[in-house]
Amino acid sequence: MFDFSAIAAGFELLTSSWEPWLVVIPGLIIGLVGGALPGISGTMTMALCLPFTLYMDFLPAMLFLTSVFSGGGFGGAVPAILVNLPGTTSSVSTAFDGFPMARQGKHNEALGLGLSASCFADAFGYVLLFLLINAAASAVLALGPIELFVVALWGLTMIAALRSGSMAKGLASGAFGLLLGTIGIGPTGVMRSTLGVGSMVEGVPEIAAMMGLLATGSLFLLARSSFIVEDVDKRQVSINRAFWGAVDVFRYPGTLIRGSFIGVIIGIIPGVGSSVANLIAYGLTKQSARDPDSFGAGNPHGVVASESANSSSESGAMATLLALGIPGGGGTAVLLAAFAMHNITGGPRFISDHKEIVYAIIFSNFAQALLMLPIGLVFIWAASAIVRVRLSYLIPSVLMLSVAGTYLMSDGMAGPITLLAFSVLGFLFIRFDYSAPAAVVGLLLGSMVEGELVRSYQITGGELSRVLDRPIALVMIAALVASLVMRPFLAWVRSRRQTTA
Amino acid sequence: MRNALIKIAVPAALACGVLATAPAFAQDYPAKPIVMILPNDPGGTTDRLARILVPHLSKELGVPVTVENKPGAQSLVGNAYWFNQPADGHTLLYTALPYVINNIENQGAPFKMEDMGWINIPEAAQTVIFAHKNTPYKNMEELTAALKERGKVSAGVIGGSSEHILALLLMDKLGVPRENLRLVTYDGGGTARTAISGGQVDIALLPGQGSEQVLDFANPLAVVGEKALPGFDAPPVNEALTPVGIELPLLPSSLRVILTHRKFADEQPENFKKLVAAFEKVNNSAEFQEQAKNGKLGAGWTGPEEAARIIDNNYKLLIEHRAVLEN
Repeated sequence: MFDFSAIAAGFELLTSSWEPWLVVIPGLIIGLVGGALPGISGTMTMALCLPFTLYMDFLPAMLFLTSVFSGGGFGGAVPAILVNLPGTTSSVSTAFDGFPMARQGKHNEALGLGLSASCFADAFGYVLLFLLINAAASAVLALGPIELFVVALWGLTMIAALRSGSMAKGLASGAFGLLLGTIGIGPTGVMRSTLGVGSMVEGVPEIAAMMGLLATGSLFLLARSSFIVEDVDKRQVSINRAFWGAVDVFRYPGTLIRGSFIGVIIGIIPGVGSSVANLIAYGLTKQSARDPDSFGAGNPHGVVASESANSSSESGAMATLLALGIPGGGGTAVLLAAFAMHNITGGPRFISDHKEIVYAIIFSNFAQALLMLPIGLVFIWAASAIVRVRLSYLIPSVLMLSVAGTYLMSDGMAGPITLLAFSVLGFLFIRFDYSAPAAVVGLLLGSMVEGELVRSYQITGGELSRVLDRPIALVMIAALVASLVMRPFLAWVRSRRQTTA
Repeated sequence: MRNALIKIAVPAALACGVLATAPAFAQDYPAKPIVMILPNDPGGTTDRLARILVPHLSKELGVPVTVENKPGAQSLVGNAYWFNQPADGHTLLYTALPYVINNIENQGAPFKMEDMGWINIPEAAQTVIFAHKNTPYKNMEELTAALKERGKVSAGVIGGSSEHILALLLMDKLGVPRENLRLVTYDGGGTARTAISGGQVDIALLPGQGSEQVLDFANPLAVVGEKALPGFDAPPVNEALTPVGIELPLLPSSLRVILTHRKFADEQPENFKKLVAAFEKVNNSAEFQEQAKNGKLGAGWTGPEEAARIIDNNYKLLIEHRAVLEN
C-alpha cells in the first residue's frame, strides 16, 4: 500500500526549493475572498486564476490552485455565519446554525469553529486519500446509473431532516424544489416550462435561486432589528474568542469525523460535490442527534458538520481526478485543465507512473490545511467587523453585492431577476413556515435524480429485476431504507417496551 | 414592516436599474471577455482541448477567454445557450457535428445550420466499438450473435452522436428489435468512457481519438472507417462484419468544430477575420501543438472555408440517417 520510494520522492519534490510555496498564501487568501463574495463560487474563482498558472511550472501551479480550492472551502462560511447569506453553495447549511449563533453574539466562536473544522477535514480527507486512492478509483468505476440514482435519492431524503415545521410542509417544499428543477431541458431533450424565455432553457439559475430562497428573503425580516447582534456588549470582534472557538472543534469529535467521512465519500462521486456534501452531512447529523430540535437555533454541531463535509469533499474529488482523470465537479474541472496544460492527464496509468506527484499533492494539502488556520483567523477578524455595521447600511449593501454577483454568474439579467423572484418566495416560505432548505435540496438534486433515473431505466431495459444483479445498488438501497425507518422503528419499539413494562 | 421593506426595496431596485443600463458596444473587438461554450460535461476531449487553447487565445486577443460547460440534452442546452447570446463575436461554441444536426432535426433547436460561422475543425474523430474485458465478445460476429437475444447486451453512447445512430442502425440492419439492446445515453465523452471503463455497460461506441485510456479496461472490436486506426488493434467495421453479411454506413464520428455566430461574420467581417487570424496563429504555434500532442488531442487547422466544405460533405450523409434518432 505504501510505496516508500515514491513518498520520499514526493517529499523531495516539495522541499527541493521554497519558491513554489510562495504561491500558497496568496492562493489561500484569493480562495477565502472569492468564496466569501456571494454569487461568486469557488469554481469561478479558480477559473479566474487559471490563466495565471499558464506561466508557472507545474508544481507552483498545482499548489496555487489547490490553495484557492481550499480557501474557497471555508470562505463561503463567513457571510453564511455573519449575514445568513452563504458565499458559495458549499456553505448553505453552515448558515442554518451559524447565523443563529451570530445573533446570539457568538459569531467569533462560530467562525473559529467553522475554520478549524474546515482545516481538520481538509487534512483528514487527504489522509484518507493517501491510504485509499486505489480503492477510491475502483469504487468510482463501480458506480453505475442505478447506484448514482440511489445516492441522489438519499440526498433527497435529507429533505425530511431539514424541515423546521411539519413533515407535510417539509415534503411539499422539497417537492416544490424538485418541480422547479424540472424547468428547462430534460435529460431526453424535451423542453419544459420555459415559457419561451431563452435563458430558461438550462433551467432556473441555481445559485440565484438558492440565495433568494435562503438568504435575501430573510433579510426582509432582519430589517426589523438595528444590528445583527442586538446586544451591544456581545457585539465585539475578538480574534481571541475566534481562536478558542477554533480549538473548541475537538469537543465535537463524532460530528467532525462523521462530517469529514461523508464529505470524502460524496466528493469521490462525480457530479455531486461539496454543495450536496454539506447538506447531507448536516441532515445526517441532525437526524442522529439526541436533540434534533436544537438544530437551526444555534447548535455548534451543525456548523462543524457542514464545514467539515465541504472541505473534505475536496480530497474526494481529487481522488477521482487523479485516479480516473474525471473531474468530480467545477473545482476539479479547472484543476484538470491546469493539469492538461502541463500534460498531466490523470488516469490509472498516471497514478502508477507518477506516484511521486500524487504524494506531493497530498502532502502539500496537509501544509495548506495548517497554513489556513492563522490566515483564516486574520480573515475572520477582518470580516467580523460586519457585525458592528448598522443593518440599515448593511442590508442594502449585501443586496447590491448579491445582485452584482448573480449578474456576473448568469451574464445577464436572468440572475438578478431570479434572485428577486426567489427572495419574495423565500420571504413567503418563512412567513408560512415552509422549509426553504428543503426546496433548495430539491432544486440542486433534481437534475441529477432525473438524469440518473433515465439512465437507470435505459440500462435495465425497463426491467426492474435487473436491479437485483447489482449488489452495490442493493446494499445502498438497503442502507437507504434502513436510515429512513430506523428512527420511527426504534421509537415504536421503545413505546411497546414501555407499555409492556 | 413597511418602512423596512422600503429601506431594502429602493436600493435594490436602483442597483438593478444601474446594471441594466450597461450595454457593451463592440467598437473595438474584442471589447470584453470572450466565452467559449462547451455543451458537454467537463473532462471530455473537447473540454481538455478547449482548456489548453483558451489561455493562448487570451494572450493573443488581449482579453480573458474562458470556458463554460453547459451540458444537457445531447448538447442542446449548450448549443441553444450559445445561440441566444448576442452575435458580437464574444461567445464562441466548441461543439461537434452530429449533435448539432440532431438538435436541429429532431429536437426543435432554435438555431439553424445557416446561423453557424465555422472557424476551424481541429479534429475529425472515428468511431471505435469497444467491448469490456469481462465480456466474452472477441469480434463483431460474436457480438452480433449476442444482440439477437433480448436484453443481453448493454451499450453506452454519447446521446445524439453518430455512435448513437450507428448503434440503432446496427440493430436495424441485423433485423432485430431495437429493444434487444439496452442503450444508455450519456451527456459527454468523459462520463461515457467512465461507464465502459467500469464495466457499467458491456460495450460502448465512442470516438476513438480521446478514448485511449479506455483500452486498459476494454478491447476494441472494430473501427468505423475504411482503414484501421493507429493505436487501436481492430479491423475496419465492414471487414469485421463480413461473416454476418451486413454493412454499416461509414458515418463520421465527432466532427469537432469551433464556431461563432454567422451574423457576426457577416456584419463585422474585419473583426471576424481578426478572430480567425488569432485562432490560426495560436493553433499552429509550436507551444500549443506540443501541449496538444502530449495530451493526445487533435489540433489540426482547416480554417473557415475548408471547415465549411467538410461539414457540407458530411451533412448529407448524416441527414440521410438522422431519421433513425426520431422517436
